[in-house]
Amino acid sequence: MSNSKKSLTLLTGATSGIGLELAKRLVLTDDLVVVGRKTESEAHVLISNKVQYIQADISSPKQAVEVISSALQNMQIDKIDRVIHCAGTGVYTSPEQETVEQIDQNVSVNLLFPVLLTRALVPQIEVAKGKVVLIGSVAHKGSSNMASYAASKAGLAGFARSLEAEWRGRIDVQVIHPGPTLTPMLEKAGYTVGMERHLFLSPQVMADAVIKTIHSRKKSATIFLGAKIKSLLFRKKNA
Amino acid sequence: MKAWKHALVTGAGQGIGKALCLRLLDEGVKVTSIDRDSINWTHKNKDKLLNHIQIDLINSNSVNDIIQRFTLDDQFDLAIHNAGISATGKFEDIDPKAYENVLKLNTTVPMQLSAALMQSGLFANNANLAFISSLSHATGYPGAAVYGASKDAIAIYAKSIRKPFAKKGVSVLSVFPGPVRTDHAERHAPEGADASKRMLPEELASKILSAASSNKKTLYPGAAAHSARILGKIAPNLMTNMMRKIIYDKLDRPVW
Repeated sequence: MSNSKKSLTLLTGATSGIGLELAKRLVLTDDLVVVGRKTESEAHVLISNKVQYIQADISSPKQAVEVISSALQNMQIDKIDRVIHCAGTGVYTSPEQETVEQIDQNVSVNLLFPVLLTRALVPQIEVAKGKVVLIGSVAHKGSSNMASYAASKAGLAGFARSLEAEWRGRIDVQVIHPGPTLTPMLEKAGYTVGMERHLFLSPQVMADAVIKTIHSRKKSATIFLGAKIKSLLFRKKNA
Repeated sequence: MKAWKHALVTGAGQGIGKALCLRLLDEGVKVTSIDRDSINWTHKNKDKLLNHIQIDLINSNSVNDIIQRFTLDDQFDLAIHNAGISATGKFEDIDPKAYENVLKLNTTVPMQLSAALMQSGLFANNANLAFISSLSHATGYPGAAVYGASKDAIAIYAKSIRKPFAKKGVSVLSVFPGPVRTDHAERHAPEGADASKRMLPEELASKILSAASSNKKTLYPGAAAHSARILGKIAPNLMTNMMRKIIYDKLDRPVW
């Protein structure tokens, strides 16, 4: 690793949805380490063997951060140019139907985990003068059928806003809010896509737009209609 | 003030929670208070009207524990999620365990308790439910990034459930207080900070109860909170930078 001139990127949530598409793209340009729940062999069916894989169950954020920290140590990684927090979970239901466990999971996975992982990696990111990218959601402004999910993403946006101000000039912090995207998370969340599927972005189009945004200096960005219109006007074969 | 019959107040041991309880007891409202400590303040109606549950909300089973203590006869027509903690200092100086606790108590528990009260039919008709967010929702909070995040989260939760809860007869209020003169604020403020500019807890409690009485959606208590809110909307970056100057640059020690 140490001889490589490529940037080192650590990506969470890389075995599904937008994260998986990000992994497929980033492996072409970066030294890529990814974190996912699947086993290593399952993960390598999906993404290239060039990717270094860390299996961690982020439903227990504290333990997952310990696993990731010691794996990075074993890989002798002491400099990280970019951390992309893409792992997320959600439930689509009315607020009075949300259970105590679901609410706990939404906050743990979507908010506590990125906070704790960022906290644990400060020295490695700082030495690289690196960047922290938090993948939020357009739901961060509120959603009556994903109330605790929306709350967790609002927390992530707020965390990014304050941390960006704290770290200005030391470490870049950016939050990116993807609009509706056709990912496996929808089904897992219990959402059935109807006619509105035409408004949704494919994970491929979303990942392209996210990567473009990561390379920009924007502190905060929402990716939705602009990317959708572009994808319709300049249709790529994989879009 | 509306004639509530049974109120639930978390974090009732001191500060704003204590002020809320005292005011409700003045008016003869039956109060169930929750705090990790016992109640060490007194009131003439305390024995008759106050039912205290001593429980640490940070414990993982606390919400289920609380819900199990009530039957449909105990329905609440007022619930105020007031319990909260902070963690101030540079992000990288604070113990990760404190972040876990802040998010649990300020964000997860009020959401769980609201959903569970609704599921268990423990809200009376025409009830009021209040969440205490923070003025930092309008400005960002460098020097307490995770506390700020926890209060942004609860503000958006309140906004998200407002319509569905209204359909079930529960009116949701979000409160965005600036600094309040409590022991809690004192502990987190930099040394030499001027406490006289902070709002008194009694004044804030009155404003909260009056806003809930008239089914208001949001409350920015006091003139300073109002202007901060407006500036936060017009010039969010400027406000966050100002917060950095008045708070982060003056941090003298981490506190959690």
